[in-house]
Parts: sequence; structure tokens; C-alpha cells
Amino acid sequence: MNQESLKDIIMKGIHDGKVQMRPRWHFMLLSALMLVGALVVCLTLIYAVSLVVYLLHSSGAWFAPSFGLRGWFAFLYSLPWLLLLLLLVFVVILEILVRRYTFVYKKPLLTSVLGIVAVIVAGGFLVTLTPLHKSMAHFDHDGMLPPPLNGLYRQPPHFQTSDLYRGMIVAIAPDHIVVSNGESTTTVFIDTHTRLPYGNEFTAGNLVIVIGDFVSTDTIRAFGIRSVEPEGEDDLSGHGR
Amino acid sequence: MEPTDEQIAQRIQKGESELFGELVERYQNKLMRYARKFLSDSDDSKDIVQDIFIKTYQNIQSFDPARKFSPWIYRIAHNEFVNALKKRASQRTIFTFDIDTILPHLSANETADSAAMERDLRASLETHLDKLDAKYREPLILYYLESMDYKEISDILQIPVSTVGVRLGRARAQLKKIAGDTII
Repeated sequence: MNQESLKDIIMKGIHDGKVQMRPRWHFMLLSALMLVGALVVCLTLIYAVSLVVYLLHSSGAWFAPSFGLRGWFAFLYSLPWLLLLLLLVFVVILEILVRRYTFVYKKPLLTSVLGIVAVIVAGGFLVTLTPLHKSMAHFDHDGMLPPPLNGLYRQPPHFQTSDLYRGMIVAIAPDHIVVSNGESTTTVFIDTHTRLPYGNEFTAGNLVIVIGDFVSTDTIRAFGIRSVEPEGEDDLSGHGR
Repeated sequence: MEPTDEQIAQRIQKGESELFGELVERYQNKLMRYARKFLSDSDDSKDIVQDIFIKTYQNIQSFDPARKFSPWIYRIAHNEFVNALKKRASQRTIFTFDIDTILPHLSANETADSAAMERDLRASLETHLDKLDAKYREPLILYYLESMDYKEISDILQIPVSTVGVRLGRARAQLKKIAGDTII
């Protein structure tokens, strides 16, 4: 095959219609689909991050690190690891979808992945400032959320074995307080070892997070207690045990 | 004045298909050389180059005439060559996950080699290129034989510019090791 013949072969294929140009709309459609795909994955990631933050707030786990090492363990134990693993998978998918763009492949992989993580974490935190999850929790309580979201806001199963309890003080005694989370009432015993990182000025109606050992189904020996700011009118419906 | 590759590509996009022959003439020698060097004189180089031109024509509507044509067609060539190498069991290294593209590197500026060094390097390329790993062979071919700059190589391989510099540096070191201290 000489040089001329290569040109002849290709031009003959074009003239005979065996080699055809794909239309411009084909590439525009592909680009649009890729962009929409990337956007959907990005929004899903932002929603998932905000959901994780919301669930951690609801369970009280978000505040657990203020109790020291045991609090950190409780926090790490309470993390929805399956959801976080799913988040990681989605980050990889997003990276693959956007890797074809010049502004992405010109950067080292680590930089672009960290950029994606920064965007979704910032976006996730911004979403937690909106009433989205409270509204969705309302819908969920009314049984109006479709699968796979239904039940997500009512019974996050991961928090069932946590040693955290979140609720409102309904009574105060010298050596204990009574806390209710709307579904159950628990007596929380306080002694000299109980950690009170934000002081002991509790009053009835305060929203508190308790970390400790359940000595029975309705009694906790408190390792630590702290009050938290209410996040809304339905704040009592936390997901603590 | 001769039309540029980009102008020809734009006219083909608008329906002047017969002009594609001009692009074939302009690129067939370059792509054949690229194929022979990268695929180490593979018997199927001609077929692969033919496939490259067919894919170029099929996908020419996706080319942006505001950008340079040569990195675009070389990107198609790169993909075809990688697919060809995938079929060879002995060339796994190019497909493994590359840590060079993960971590950031200090910016790698293009450096002008001395004339003597460049002459030695080119001579060494002729004799020892096929002994290099594929991922180091390719930037050497593009930089020294196809006279591409770092940015163009970055666009063809879709890797950061700094990684191009790192790979070229390692490629020269490998070449030096293979050829002995007589060069570079």
C-alpha cells in the first residue's frame, strides 16, 4: 500500500457511503447527556452529604466529639458508613464523567477529586441550612416519600445501637434528669464523673445530648451531657435511642 | 496561501467532504511514523492508521475549529494505538493506574537541549525507543519526533502538563540507562 492508495481507499469509502460522518447533533446530544449525568450525580452527592449531616444532627452524634475520645468513638460509630461508601463510588463516577473536560484532566487527579469533594461538602452544608430535610422528614412521617427515601427520616437503622440519646429535659432532680425524645422517656443519672463541657445550668425544656451506658431500657448512667440549640419546632423528634 | 488544517476541517464539517483527502495527505506520513515508533514496527500499523482516518472523518463534527487540529487527530491516534497495545499481553504498563497523574508535581518547564545533546538523543531514539515502556515511549515520540510542545502532548494524552514533564524526564533517564552514558 503506497501513500496515494491510503488516501484513495478512504476517499472511496466516503464516496461510496461506507464511511459516514456522524451528524453534529449526535455529539451535542452526547455532550448534553454527559453534562446532565454529571449534574445529576453532583446533586445526588450534595443531597447525600446534607442527609448525612442532618441525620448526625438528629441523632446527636454530630455533637458527640465534645465529650472527648469516647465521644469521637460514638461519632465514628454513628457515621452511616454504607452511605459514605456510596458517596465515594459516586465521586469516582463523577470524576470519570468530568475527566474528559480540559479543565479537569489538566489538573492532577488528587486536585480534581479534592475539588469535587470540596464542592459537594460545601453544597451539602448549604443544603442543611435550608428547610429541605425538615420538610422531607414531615413527608416521611406522613408516609408520602417514595422508595428508596421512604423511612429514611423515621428509622435510620444505624443509630439504634449508639450509646447516644437526644431529647428534651422534662424534669430535674439533684442526681438525675428526665429526658424525653417524644417516643420514650429516659432517666439520666449524673455523678461527679459526668462530663459537662458546656456547664450544668440545665432547665426543663432544654434540648440535650447524653452519652453514657444504658443500665436498663429507660435509664442511662451519663458519661457526658451537653445542651444543644433546637433546630426547629419538630426538633424533639430526634433519632436517638 | 494554503488553508490551515482547522480551516479545512471546518469546510469538511460544512459539507466539502472531498477536502478530507487533503487532511489524509497532510497527516498520513506523520501518523505512519507515530504508529511505527509507538507500536514498534507492528505489521498492522497501516490498518490502524487507516482506522484513525476513518474515525477522524466519522467524528469530525465533534472537532472545535477554534482549537488546533493536530492534537485532536493525534488524540484519536493515541486511543487507537492504546487499543492495539491492549491486545498485546507484554504491554501492560501503559494501562495500569498511573500515580504520576494523581499527585501534583512542580511545574515542568520545557528546556532547550543543546544541539549535541539533541542529536545524541535522536540517534538513541532510533535505536532504543522500542525498549522503553509504552507510557514513556509515547511522550518522547510526540516531543522529539512529532515536535509537539508540552501543552499539545498534555491534550493528546489527557494528562496534566507537569506530568508530561515528569514522563519525559523519566523517559530520558530510561533511555540513558539503556544506551549507556554515551548519550544525553
